[in-house]
Order: sequence, then structure tokens, then C-alpha cells
Amino acid sequence: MLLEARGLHIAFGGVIAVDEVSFTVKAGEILGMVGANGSGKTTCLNMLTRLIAPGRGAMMLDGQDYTALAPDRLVALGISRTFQNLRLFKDLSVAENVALGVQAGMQAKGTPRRERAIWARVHELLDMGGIRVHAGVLPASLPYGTQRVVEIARALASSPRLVFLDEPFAGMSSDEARMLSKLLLDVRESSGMALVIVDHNVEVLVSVAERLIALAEGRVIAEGAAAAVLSDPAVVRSYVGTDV
Amino acid sequence: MDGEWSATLLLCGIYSLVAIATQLGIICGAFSLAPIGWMSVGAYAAALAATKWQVGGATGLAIGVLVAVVFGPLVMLPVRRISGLYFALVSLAFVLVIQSVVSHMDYTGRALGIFGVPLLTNLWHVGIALVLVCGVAAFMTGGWRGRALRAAGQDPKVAYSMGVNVANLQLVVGAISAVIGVVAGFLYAHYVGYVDPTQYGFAMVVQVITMVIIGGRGHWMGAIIGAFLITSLPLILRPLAEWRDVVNGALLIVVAVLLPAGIFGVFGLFRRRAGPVDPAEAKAGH
Ligand SMILES: Nc1ncnc2c1ncn2[C@@H]1O[C@H](COP(=O)(O)OP(=O)(O)OP(=O)(O)O)[C@@H](O)[C@H]1O
Ligand SMILES: [Mg+2]
Repeated sequence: MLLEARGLHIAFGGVIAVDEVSFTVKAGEILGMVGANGSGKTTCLNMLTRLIAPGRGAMMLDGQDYTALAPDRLVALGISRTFQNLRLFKDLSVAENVALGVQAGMQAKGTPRRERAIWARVHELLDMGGIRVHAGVLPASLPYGTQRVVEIARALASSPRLVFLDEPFAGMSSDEARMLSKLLLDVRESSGMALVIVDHNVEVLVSVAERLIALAEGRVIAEGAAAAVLSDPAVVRSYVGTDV
Repeated sequence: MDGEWSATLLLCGIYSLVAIATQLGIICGAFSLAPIGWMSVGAYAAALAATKWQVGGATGLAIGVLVAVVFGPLVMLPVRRISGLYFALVSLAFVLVIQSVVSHMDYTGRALGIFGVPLLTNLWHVGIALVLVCGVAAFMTGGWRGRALRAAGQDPKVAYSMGVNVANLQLVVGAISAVIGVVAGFLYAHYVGYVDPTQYGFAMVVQVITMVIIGGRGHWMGAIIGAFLITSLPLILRPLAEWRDVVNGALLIVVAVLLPAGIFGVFGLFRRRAGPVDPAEAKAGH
């Protein structure tokens, strides 16, 4: 098992945001995570990437417990992520943002971080995402969907084994979403990395994810094949009254 | 060279050092005024070495640098808890505490300060120090290290998730900028021949902030541009000598409104952000 989340739990003040969440991800697998607004998806990702410390529970990668590891050590383990609200470095160019991912990967592997090698890999990634023409500009000058692609390229740049994507399809046109899902499938094919994708766009999500996990009020309410999860009465009930 | 101009040039160089030290902190997300406090440590080290400890200037400098290396990171520590202007205020407190300590101790000559520091500093010393410090600044802000530094300054949380140990980086910058401050103060004391507590206080803080903002935030070269401009302005505008603060203030407003990225920002537009062009590709006509 690549990732194993065991009984993750956290409360903010009196509000339990994530309640005893356990699930696993196999190497090379794409897991979709769904749930209504506020169901705890982002908070799960924040714990799994160590941006916040879990109140209870444990997280293992390849059997290694990383629950107490410092957040800057996760890249070396092979974990990277994107953010629901774009978090690109706004005063760094598109290429420099991606370069940060590349150099993090090199640092993790102990390869010397030479500029020439870094930029060669940056340009490769930019080409792959079809964003090479934007290399020198600041992210804010790009459309939202393109900025998402930049952030994803930055996350893939460290050659991770496991990537968490928080609503990668949000704000994308259906064309953009289709291109991105193809890109993600290609990357998985060539590198074998596993992906955990949170998104409200169930249609696109199902087209890339092999398996779904559904959260409601911080708890896992269903898990398994897409069709089964989406028709699960508990899942249907949790979405009633929401816009999805 | 005209004596007055060479004197101004020398001061430009010394101010450039402090401005660069301040700029390095700003780039990595720690807006610290501590370098001005460190300048005072360097100046008093020079004065005490010459008058009380009876050791050579080099030994005085070494002692100052040692203190900076040890305590520079310590003064940077609060940035882990507070940031932005609040941290700037804490670092200002450090400057004022040093000022207050030296003005109350007999050992440092109280408000009178210490006279009789040998006049040793010449343009060469300042020039060499500036070249070395520029080298350090270029090293810290170039390549992968520079990207990590700027990432830490812009979004520390995301920087952490990109493998950057933000806290350690800021401590290293704390040590480096403290050492630069000590060197600047040391050179200054050996140039004017005395130290007193008023030299490194609030006025100097305002002066350095003005230099950094006018020259351009985000790049060490901006600090040099600002330092040269603000320091040489009184000489250029001699007829307006009495209006020096007004001119500085007006300049600050004009730059803040018209060039929010500072004077260097104008050049920054031409900075290569896309990475080096692959020569083979350039030939292929891309
Ligand atoms: N830092 C925080 N402080 C207080 N409450 C928080 C914090 N982070 C999340 N919460 C709460 O935890 C719950 C889960 O939030 P979370 O952002 O994980 O939901 P989500 O499933 O990602 O929702 P969305 O689909 O809207 O992104 C919400 O009730 C939210 O208000
Ligand atoms: Mg969310």
C-alpha cells in the first residue's frame, strides 16, 4: 500500500472537521474524493500533506509513519500537492514557480541543483502542460484555468509518488478539463505516480479516477467503484440541497 | 577626486551595506530593522577595541562579527511567531534597546559616546567590503537558493511544502545580515572617528527604509541604487540643503506612487524569468 490514512481526526474549536477518516491508496492508483462543501476534504489533504497536524490518527507512506514529519520533508518522501485556492508564488514567473518544484525533487534525490539541469526539466514540464509560451510571465496575468495547470506542473515537477490535487478542475472550461484529465492520465501512465483528486466536477472526476471515496461531515460514508459510490443512498442524501 | 565627493561616495558605500542587509531580510519574508542595531554593535566594537581593549582593529572586527553570527539568528527568531509589520516593530525594539543600553553604560561612554577611534577607513576598504557583500547577496538570491528565499518570503506555507525550510533560511539570513551590519558600523566608526548613541537610532532606521523602498524592494541592487541616491542627494541638491528631509519625503512619495516596485523595478522588467534559452533551440529559430 502506498498511502495509508488511519483514523485521521481533527476539530477546530468545537467543530469536528474530520472524524476518524481511514483510507488507502495503492501505488499508481487514482483516487477521487467527493463530498459536499465543508465535508472535510481539504482538511484531510492538509493533514495528509502535514500543513496541519492531525489531532489523532496516523499517516503512512510505504509503511513509513510520517505523521510527525516536518512539512518541508514531505517532498523527499515523494508527496506533493496543489491548493484549492491557487497558491502560486505571485512575484515569481511561471517558469520560476515550476523550477521550485524541480529543485525540490533534485534536493530530495541528492542531485546537485544546477541551473542548466533545472531549466531543462522546467521547459520539459512547461511543454508537457502546453504552457511554455507563458514561461516568463507572472501567474496573475494568466487565465484561471492556465494558472491551475501551472500549479499542477509545479506539483508534478518534483517527480512525486503521490500527488494531492484539491479541485484541479474548478473554474476550467470543459475543454480545459478534458485536456487536463488526459494530461493526468498520461503522467500516471509514464511515471506511475498515484493521485488523490478532490473535485466537485463528478463527471470529469469519474473519467480519471478508478475509485471514489465520499465524505460527509468529516466522515467516510462510502468507498469503492464510482457507480456504486455515486448511487449510494447516504451519498445521495448528503448532496441533497447542495448545488452538485 | 574632490574630497567632498569621495567622502560622499564612501558614505554611499557604507549605507549600501546596511541597505543590502535589510533587503535580504525583506526578500525572505523577515522585514527586520535589526541591521541598524548591528551597525551600532560594529561601531562600538571598533571604538572599544581602539580605546578600551587595546587590541588591533582586526580583532575588534572579529569580535563584532562573532557576536553577530551568534546573536543575529537569535534576533531573527520572533519571525516564527509574528510577521510583517509586527516583526518589523520587534526588530525596531532591538535597535532601540541597543541604543538605550549604550547610552546608559559608563563603559560605552553614555550619551557622549567614545571619541578617539582612529581614522582608518578609506574608499578602498568600503569598496572591497561592498564587492564582497554584493557577492554574498548575489549568491544568496541567485539560482535555486534565491528562488527558495523569495518563495519563503511570499508564501512560507507553500514554500515549506516545496521542501524549503523557511525557518532555517531566515535564521541564516539573520546571521548574514547581522554580520553585514557589524561590518558597516565598524567602517563607519573608523571613518568619523567616534561613536555615540544618536548615530544608530530612529533617524538611521527611517533613512535605510527610504533607501530600500526607493531603490526597489526585492533585489539587492535596488538597495544600492537607493543608498547612493539618498546619500548623495544633499550634495547634488546643495542649494536645497535645508530641505533635505522634505526632498527625501517627496522622492519617497513620487516613487511609491509612480514606481511601486522601486527604481530597480524598472530594470527588473527586463529580468530573465523564463530561464536560459537553449542554444540549439535558438538556432532552430524558436
Ligand atoms: N482552519 C480552520 N479553522 C476553523 N475551521 C475550519 C478550518 N479549516 C476548516 N474548517 C472547517 O472544517 C470543515 C471542513 O472544511 P473543509 O475546507 O475541509 O471542507 P471541504 O470539503 O474542502 O469543502 P469545499 O468543498 O467547500 O472545499 C468546515 O466546517 C470548515 O469550516
Ligand atoms: Mg475544500
